[in-house]
Amino acid sequence: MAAAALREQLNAHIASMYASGMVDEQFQQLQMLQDDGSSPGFVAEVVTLFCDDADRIITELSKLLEQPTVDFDKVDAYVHQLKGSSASVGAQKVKFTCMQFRQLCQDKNRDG
Amino acid sequence: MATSSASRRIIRVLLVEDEAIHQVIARQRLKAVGGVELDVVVNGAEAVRRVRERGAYYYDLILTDRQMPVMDGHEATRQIPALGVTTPIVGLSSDCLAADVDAFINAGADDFVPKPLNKEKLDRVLTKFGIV
Repeated sequence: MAAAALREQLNAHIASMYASGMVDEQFQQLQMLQDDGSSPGFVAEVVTLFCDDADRIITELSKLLEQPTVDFDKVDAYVHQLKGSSASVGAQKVKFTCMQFRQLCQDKNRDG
Repeated sequence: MATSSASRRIIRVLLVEDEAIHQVIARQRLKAVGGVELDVVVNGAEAVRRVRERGAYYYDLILTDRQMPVMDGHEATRQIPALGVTTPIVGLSSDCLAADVDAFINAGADDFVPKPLNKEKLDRVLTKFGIV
């Protein structure tokens, strides 16, 4: 019973992530891959890797942005990585934010 | 002679990718195809070395990321055919503007796939090159 209740809670949470646009169909593909491939820990592994990547990249970005002269090429390279990770896990809102961030990096570079 | 899925030979794929998240997803995606033997290397220089060790006809498909340390995917794509390898090379990147695609194709890639590698994109590549 407890397991069923937890499963229901999890499904409701995932449904709300889709509804709010937090995740997209790529996340659904990962869930399908997990089910089809009989790999129960697959989605958890990918999400954990994404969270670790995001944590590391945001730490590096914070350091770079605190410098008196910001190296926007380096900033852009880190945001590129985060964009790739977020797209792969289906974290749509993060991906869109990275795309906007990269545009700002490129504009900043043009402005000198 | 037609081959059934039961008698189909092993599909050997080399993935050139430095980021763990993309490696894990590609591995699972290729596992779902069935009959795939996957080698993973983390930069272009390792890819060139691995292809040289394995021989020109070993791999059926090479999938390579662009941005990697030591040697990027463009340079690996230029160097691998020089070893006499005719295996299709497919560039992967989350940057997929026309200029990004052209850069891979101009380096000698046979095709380009925007990340993330999903079922439809992988099926298209495997079909295009007659791998399945």
